[in-house]
Amino acid sequence: MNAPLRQRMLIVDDDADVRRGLGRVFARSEFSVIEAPDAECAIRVLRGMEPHVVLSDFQMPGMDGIEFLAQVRLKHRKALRVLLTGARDVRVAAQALNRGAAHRLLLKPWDRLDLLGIIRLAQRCSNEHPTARSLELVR
Amino acid sequence: MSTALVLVVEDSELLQRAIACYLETLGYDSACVGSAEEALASDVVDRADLAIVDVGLPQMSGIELVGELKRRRGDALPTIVMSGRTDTEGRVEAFDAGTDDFVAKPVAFPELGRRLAQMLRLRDALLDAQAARERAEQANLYASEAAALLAHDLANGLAVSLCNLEFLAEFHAWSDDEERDACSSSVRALRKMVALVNNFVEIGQLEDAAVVARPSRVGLSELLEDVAGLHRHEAEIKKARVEVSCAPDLEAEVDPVLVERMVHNLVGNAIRYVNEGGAIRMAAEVRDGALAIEVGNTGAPIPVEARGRIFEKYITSGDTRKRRGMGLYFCRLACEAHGGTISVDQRPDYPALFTVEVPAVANASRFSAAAAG
Repeated sequence: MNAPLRQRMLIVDDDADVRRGLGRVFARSEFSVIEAPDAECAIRVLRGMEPHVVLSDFQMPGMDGIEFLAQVRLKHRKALRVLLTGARDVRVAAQALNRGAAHRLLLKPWDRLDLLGIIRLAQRCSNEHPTARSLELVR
Repeated sequence: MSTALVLVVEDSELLQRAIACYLETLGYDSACVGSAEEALASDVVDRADLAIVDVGLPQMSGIELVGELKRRRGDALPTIVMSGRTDTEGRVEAFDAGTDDFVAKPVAFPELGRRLAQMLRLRDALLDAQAARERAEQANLYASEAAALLAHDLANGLAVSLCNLEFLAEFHAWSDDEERDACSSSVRALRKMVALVNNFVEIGQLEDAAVVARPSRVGLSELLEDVAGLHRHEAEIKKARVEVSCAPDLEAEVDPVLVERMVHNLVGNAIRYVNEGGAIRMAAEVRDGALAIEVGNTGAPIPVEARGRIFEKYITSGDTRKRRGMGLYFCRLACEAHGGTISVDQRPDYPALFTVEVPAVANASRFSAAAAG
């Protein structure tokens, strides 16, 4: 019998505490979490990884989260894209959502229920992930 | 203070000279021209502190000139029209064109001098008030921007602290209840701070009309139960009950985030003022096609004289000296964003009763049926 597949997740935020805090919660929910401090680093990481979930902060040094997630959309179409943003930027973030760069918004400070919602959605998406299924067959 | 410059537009050279001499005796500078066209072509129009304009000018009339001056300079250039036509219609025509004052010809110089001094005083007061308003707006803008930045930066710290503490609360093997309680009370305190920061940020956005209600189908029973769950522990400290009364399948088209925050604020407020051992009741139903949400408590009624003010910024329903609340102000803005109203009332069973009514029900008959069922 195959061992359950750990879903791969990339968290991009310039605040290490935010990355670790979120990473811990997702790791407990059977996600294999990789962290990146900015979009450029995240893009390098993505060259060697097919993610199930990409969660990115909006305001970061260099490329912002919306532009980054728009790039993720082009190369990793199946990945669930979540934009993390402060309430102050919620209008800009909502536009990103409308333009399709992100599937979901997670507002800082996030609510535990919102986070659980994202985790459940990510788990559901991962189970339907064609790449995930094919990998499971190989195993 | 520099000497005031008066533009005189008069086609009679004799009268021009007489007015200029008189103005000089009063200590004003003057620039005289014989026509409206000459006046408009001159840079004096942009520098003058006041204009005296004759109605009967050779081509463009004085009335038209006043209109043009007002378009260019507005209140910064007060005008006095001179005319031999002193009937009501003539004066009304001059005032309709925008003039600030009127003197009859032949001109009584002492009267002209006093009217002129009065106009300049009013103009200075107006310009001072405008400058003060601009400074206040600028200061307000800086304060809002600084507050928004602070709220934004607080959000990261709060997010991390809350996330980590909730993680510990869920997964840590606590050795005793004291430790567990220390963690969960920190979580509750942080949640309150999060709600405060969110209220603060969203109030700014609601005031700017930057946040609009984004209605979606919301299950009211679930929403009320979620909020009640967050507050039950706090209510228990006051030995108060939190009751929810809502048809299980009641749904409405409202903004879930705004409505949840609104109910959250109302329940938080109710817990603050409920009596020891009392009760807080949350209810939702459809009345006349509108969604009505009630949050009442068995504490003391809100004084009648305070009811009109409690939805204003920084006022609380209790001792106004504490001035700690923006929660009810947020509720009002959130209601208004839905095109609804919020009110406070007194009922025998719930002396302090808040009622929110939002006409945000997509299909009233369907929801009414659901509510009745």
